[in-house]
Amino acid sequence: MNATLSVRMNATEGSLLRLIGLVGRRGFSIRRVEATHTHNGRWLEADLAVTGERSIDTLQRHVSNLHDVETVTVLTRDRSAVDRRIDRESFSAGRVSMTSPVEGSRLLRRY
Amino acid sequence: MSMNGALALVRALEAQGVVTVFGYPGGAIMPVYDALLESSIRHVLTRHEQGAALAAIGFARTASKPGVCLATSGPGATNLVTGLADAMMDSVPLIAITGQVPGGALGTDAFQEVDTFGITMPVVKHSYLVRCADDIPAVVAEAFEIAGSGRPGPVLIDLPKDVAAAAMQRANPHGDLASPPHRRTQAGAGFNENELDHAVALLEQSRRPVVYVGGGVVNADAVDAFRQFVETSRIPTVQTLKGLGSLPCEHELSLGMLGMHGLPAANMAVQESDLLVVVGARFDDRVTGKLDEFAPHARVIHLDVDPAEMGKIRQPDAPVLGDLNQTLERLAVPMPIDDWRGHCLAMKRDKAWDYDPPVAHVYAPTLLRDLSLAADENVLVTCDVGQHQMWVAQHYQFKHPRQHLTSGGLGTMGFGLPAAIGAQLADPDATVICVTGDGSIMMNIQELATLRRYDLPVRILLLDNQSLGMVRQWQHLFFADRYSEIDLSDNPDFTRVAEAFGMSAFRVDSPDDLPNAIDRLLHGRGSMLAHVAINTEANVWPLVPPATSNSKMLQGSHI
Repeated sequence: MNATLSVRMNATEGSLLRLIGLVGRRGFSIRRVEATHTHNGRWLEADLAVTGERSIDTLQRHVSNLHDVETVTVLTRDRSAVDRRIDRESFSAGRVSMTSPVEGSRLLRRY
Repeated sequence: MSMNGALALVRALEAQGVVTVFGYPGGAIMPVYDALLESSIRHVLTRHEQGAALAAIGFARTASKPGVCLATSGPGATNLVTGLADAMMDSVPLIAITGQVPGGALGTDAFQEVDTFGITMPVVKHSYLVRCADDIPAVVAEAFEIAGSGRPGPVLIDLPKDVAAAAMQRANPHGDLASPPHRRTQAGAGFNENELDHAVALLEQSRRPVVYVGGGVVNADAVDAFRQFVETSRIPTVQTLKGLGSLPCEHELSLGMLGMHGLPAANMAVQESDLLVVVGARFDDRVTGKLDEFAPHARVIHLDVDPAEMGKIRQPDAPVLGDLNQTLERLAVPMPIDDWRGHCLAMKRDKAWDYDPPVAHVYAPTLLRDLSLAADENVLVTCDVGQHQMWVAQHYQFKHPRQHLTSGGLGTMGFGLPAAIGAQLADPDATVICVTGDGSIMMNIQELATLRRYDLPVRILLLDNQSLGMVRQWQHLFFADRYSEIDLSDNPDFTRVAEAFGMSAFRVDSPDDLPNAIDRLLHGRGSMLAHVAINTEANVWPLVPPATSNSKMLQGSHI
């Protein structure tokens, strides 16, 4: 399962570490991270391209449980066009980037 | 004394109603220890920081409110990590406050500097590195809110020494953060009516339901609602290690613990069921055995407060998220399952334990069963980890889950004695018995000094098989009798050790000694240690081998 997550979280001490550590511990490899402080440093907004064998919905709920996290959106999942483009660019340029994320359903807060 | 960060911390703890903290002083936490002299908070000095953390867990689980532990930076903080992990795995509200080197020294490899915030990140629900003294009151308030809300867990507050020593600048020491903290909406507050309706429909369709209850019922303070649910539906019930006592173990509908060392009727009922009603449990691998073959015919209703547990291990047919007190009430419907109920109760009778085996030595299951029959609900039992822990789970007839403090998720050897200390301080009128083994007791035996220091009448029931019994059992069963580092025949004389710490102590070598030993444990005065010699070859039965279906329980002989 490949997926891209978009996370908005409170920009507190170690928030990015907390996020990527959780994703790794819950069984996903992170292939790309793009993170930016917004709103004068109040928010940390991060996009993560991840791959793993487990349920992306479960990962989404784990991330959602982090105290600092405001929203988690699964932008893409499985072998979407975006994922394949990431793979190609990563392979050819030694890096990854994502230019036009597919708008996904905003699933967070279902629970 | 002018208000500095350390005193603000202490005042913030007082504002949370904290009356007892557990800890061990050191360099970077010294301002806090100085401020404690200005407070009515009782500080309990353990003899190792791990003891402080585990005692705070025992306190929290007994008092049903967050426990607090303190340690200094560096080794003090790293010694807390096991306790934090234990609290995380067992969903215990714990506040750990650690001293840290001054802010300017962070990242310079200063004396007793370690990245506590980073080291503990995987084993906390949330954590803080406090950069400004004025933030302390709000950080403490938020930490308690996080630790105790939703699914409880540990929260770390790392406090650099210069921040603790800094004067508070803001007039109101109980005020808000200089930068207001993020207040997220509490997730999972309500439940979905459609999912609840679906769950009711599944119940109505079921002919062979089983309730599988875990520690979430205790955390949700929903034991009464749970019992009402079972009494109304009259569904046979199996319990996890942490769910034991949710239904009194002697209750007609209680089939006992399920899983690797579960009782036969419990495992067989689950394997034959067509519906599992999972209440505050998480499909732990020690419960499910081989996952693909766990309850293979059952649909699943999963009730929990944590959305991340829904489908984490097994996809529920009806996920019901929310407060168990509300959801259980809605599911409490009478079930026309007389035949199935009768079948389960017949299995329970047919597989009843033989407590009178033809052996000449002390038989641990009989000792623990007899102890529980003589004890009342005011007796709290803490456990360490290993064979004795499983015998307690199988044979002690708990009347209520708060009687049982055991390290379920992490399996922390050394848990029992400090947890007993915390439990006794939380409930001074309780009779607290620490059931331990000759391996586990040595993990935190320094806390015998804490018993003496605070004159705590904890009773230690030490089951001594002169080995690491559970490891020996596995080496016997799964490693072709290739015994490796399990021999503890060079143990110290535990009665003399206890006496050296001011406890009374006695030996139990024969089954004839048991009635008197049980009477002393339950009714004797002061702290004591009962040193019970059991057979060195004794094993825990039944046992489901790892990665094997729960229908394939191994059963051995009574030795």
